[in-house]
Amino acid sequence: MTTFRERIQEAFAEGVPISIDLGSRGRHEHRVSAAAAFPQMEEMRDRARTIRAEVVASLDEQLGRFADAAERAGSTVFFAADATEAREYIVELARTERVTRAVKVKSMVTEEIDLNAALESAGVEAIETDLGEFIVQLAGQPPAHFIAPAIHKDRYEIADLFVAELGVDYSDDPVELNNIARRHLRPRFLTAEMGISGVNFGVAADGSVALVTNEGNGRLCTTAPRIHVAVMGMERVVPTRADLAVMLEVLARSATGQSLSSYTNLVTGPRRSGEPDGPDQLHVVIVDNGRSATLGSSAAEILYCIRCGACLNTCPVYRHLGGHPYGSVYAGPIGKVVTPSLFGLEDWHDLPATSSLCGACEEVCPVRIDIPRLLVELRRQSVDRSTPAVRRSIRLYASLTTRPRLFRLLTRVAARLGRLWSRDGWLRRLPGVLGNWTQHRDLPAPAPETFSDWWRRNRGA
Amino acid sequence: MPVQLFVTCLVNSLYPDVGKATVALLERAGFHVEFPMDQTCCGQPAYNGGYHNEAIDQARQTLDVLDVTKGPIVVPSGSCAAMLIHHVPELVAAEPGYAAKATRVAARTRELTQFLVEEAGIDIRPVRCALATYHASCHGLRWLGVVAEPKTLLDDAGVERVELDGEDECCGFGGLFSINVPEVSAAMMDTKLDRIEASGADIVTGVDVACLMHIGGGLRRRGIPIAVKHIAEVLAGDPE
Amino acid sequence: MERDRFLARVRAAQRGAGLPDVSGPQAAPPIEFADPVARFVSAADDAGAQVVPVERPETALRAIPRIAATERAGPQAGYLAWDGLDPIVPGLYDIMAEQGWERIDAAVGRDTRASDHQRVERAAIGITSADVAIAATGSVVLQHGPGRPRSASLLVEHHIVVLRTDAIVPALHHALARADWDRSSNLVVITGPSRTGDIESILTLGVHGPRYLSVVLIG
Repeated sequence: MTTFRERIQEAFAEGVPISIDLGSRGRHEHRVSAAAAFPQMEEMRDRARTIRAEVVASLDEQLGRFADAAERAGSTVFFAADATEAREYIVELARTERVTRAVKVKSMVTEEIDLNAALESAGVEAIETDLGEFIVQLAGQPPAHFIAPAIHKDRYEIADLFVAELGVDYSDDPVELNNIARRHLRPRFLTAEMGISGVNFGVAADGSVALVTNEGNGRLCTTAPRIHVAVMGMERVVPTRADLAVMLEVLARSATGQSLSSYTNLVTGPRRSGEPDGPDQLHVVIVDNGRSATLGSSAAEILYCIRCGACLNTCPVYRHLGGHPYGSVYAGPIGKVVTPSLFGLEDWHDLPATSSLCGACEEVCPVRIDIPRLLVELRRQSVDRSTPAVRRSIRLYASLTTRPRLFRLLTRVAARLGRLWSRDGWLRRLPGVLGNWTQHRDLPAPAPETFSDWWRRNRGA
Repeated sequence: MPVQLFVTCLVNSLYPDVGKATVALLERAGFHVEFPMDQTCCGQPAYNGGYHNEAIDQARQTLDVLDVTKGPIVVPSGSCAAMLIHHVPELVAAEPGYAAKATRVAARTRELTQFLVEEAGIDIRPVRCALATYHASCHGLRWLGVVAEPKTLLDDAGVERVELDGEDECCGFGGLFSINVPEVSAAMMDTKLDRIEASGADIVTGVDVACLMHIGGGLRRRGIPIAVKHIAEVLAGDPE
Repeated sequence: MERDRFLARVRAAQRGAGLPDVSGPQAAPPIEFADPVARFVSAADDAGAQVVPVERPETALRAIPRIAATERAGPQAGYLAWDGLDPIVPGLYDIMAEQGWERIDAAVGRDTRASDHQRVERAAIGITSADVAIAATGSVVLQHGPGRPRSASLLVEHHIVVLRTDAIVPALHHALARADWDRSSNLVVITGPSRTGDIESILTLGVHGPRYLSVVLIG
């Protein structure tokens, strides 16, 4: 596998589309306005954090209650230890039910378990129906953002893609592109035998699954096909509907700056007798896939995450990179913790290293996850995998700073050397890892006299 | 009243004038400034990089030096102050004898501009200064809540100031980040530099020399004649 | 994996979890409005819904066919509606019929889904009531069930909701606490029409759901 830095270099060489910066910045600004317009925002975030903390600390109990209630409501609950079990369950269900076509609501967890590929190889056509996700599926790409999967594409690329893949006339008008997708997907919703969704929240008290969408595809996928499969990361439970209300108060505001998304859909089992529409079967697949290992680790706090994407929108690294170079479906600040936690630090230790620790993510997180702390913690765990030259330098510097006399002497020597070496107080090219600095900026040389020498000369006893 | 100056390792070696300006400001405000000679580095780079054994050694050294002194510990750097206030106590929590030291030192530690504003009766003299703009360094801003203080001080000193678009966005320094992933760091820096240029300011100022070193190095590489000064230097006026 | 083994694994992990201490508020902050109706109207408008305030049911009876008439497809497209609207707007079904609108049967049979969908999908207008509405967000809350098809607020171009002002509560948590939701398999909180910002963050309405949402507010 390539390293994160290699993928970054590749992305920069190709050029990162400006639409990523514009789109994430715009969503961030919407979030700021929404928070300002909601006097209860900060207290609601405190409450949301408390709810998530209590759930994660008693997850076994919450999950048990959720599963019991879901079964009482007529759902079939399956516990999947990992991605393979989840995929096999769904593929097997599709096979026994003779499903040929599945329509999907964009969901991070189904991306995580790579469900579409498994369905396709079992002969089931899996169609993404969220407009952005539909676009990236046509382009054969993974989503570049939790909420805005096609954030990296402009309307002209989308227009060309629709001409090539759907055989329609060229239009780069977003309204017409939307209409093309609507006309293309509507009959597919109505003929698919299976609808597959993620779960924003599962309510332990009544076994409902809450699904939040703006486009209405979430409702269509859970209404028209006769089978609804809801795939839920095991941490996404809330105890009661009152708790659900709290989470929803912060979710859309953080994600898009709306007070609520257009459709908050609460599905409590398959349709009941006498109900005119809705699925006849509802399967809830609860996925662990590394989450229990995360729960037992020092990064357990990451399980509070509700996948709103606010931290991506505010993150200066994400804004300059987009989602793809992260190499995982979970991009952005939260992805730098989720990805190594779920899939192993060994392969993903360079994700937490790639952060300036500016803290903008924590500032907007609706459940106040201390992402910088978790990044530092993951760095601590993988410190032996860091660049040897950097590691040696840090260790050397640390050992010098614990010997104050030697430190003073060496800084004095550095001051002399810097004066000789630099051109008018600046260094333009340095060897080794410091060359990574001077590749892009100048470095000031040490001043001719250290502060401590000045102090000793002027104020010293 | 005595105050202890924790000058930070970057100021000590690269920006001694910031230390001198800090001394001038504190003395002008009537404090007796002391400088514990054995101070070195708070351990922030090692801590952020995940080198916690090394950071603990450095924290112990710093705590040993500071804990035997009296009065507030003033730091002309938001990130180093945040290190002493928030991260050091966490880091040494399990180190026998050091948890209490860390708590005491954290309670005494103050970022310079917060110290100046919160200590009543400080007289900020008017200074002559070209058109300035302020970059909010991340750690001071988000860990210590340094938001209004620097601007209040600049305004009190009569410094003409333009707001910097995206002032609270990271300049891309991030310590080892700038070395480990220079491409992203430089891209973030370029966004910051574009905005500084667009502000029309002649001077960029801030509370953290690390970020200013990054911004200044970038401006110089671009050949842009915008001066970069720590807020202590701006407020102290021309050195005597 | 078997449920018990799955949960045992979670339980074991929980014991070793490095979780921060969280001792936050035990209740959500209250949300109240001096004039919930006025707030509902402005919030619904912000969300892109069209609110038509009428004082009496008779006025609603005249307003609804006029709203329906704006739909390009015309009466021949037919409409979907919930049962039980007559007590709220007496004479509604009759007046729609007089205007040439055929009420389409929304029932989808277990074994006749494909053909039933074809019939239902033709409808241009959907008329429903709302059990509760939310002042804070301008949302309407629909509980589906017998005689209350989901499709009436989903497959149509234009969704018309009749709502009485006394159904307006301040906030989402009041709405979720208010009714006996357990009596059916689905409820939806609708806030404005179907929308997306997926192409260059440009707001576009009517992606997969209704392009227009009108709320006829009685009282």
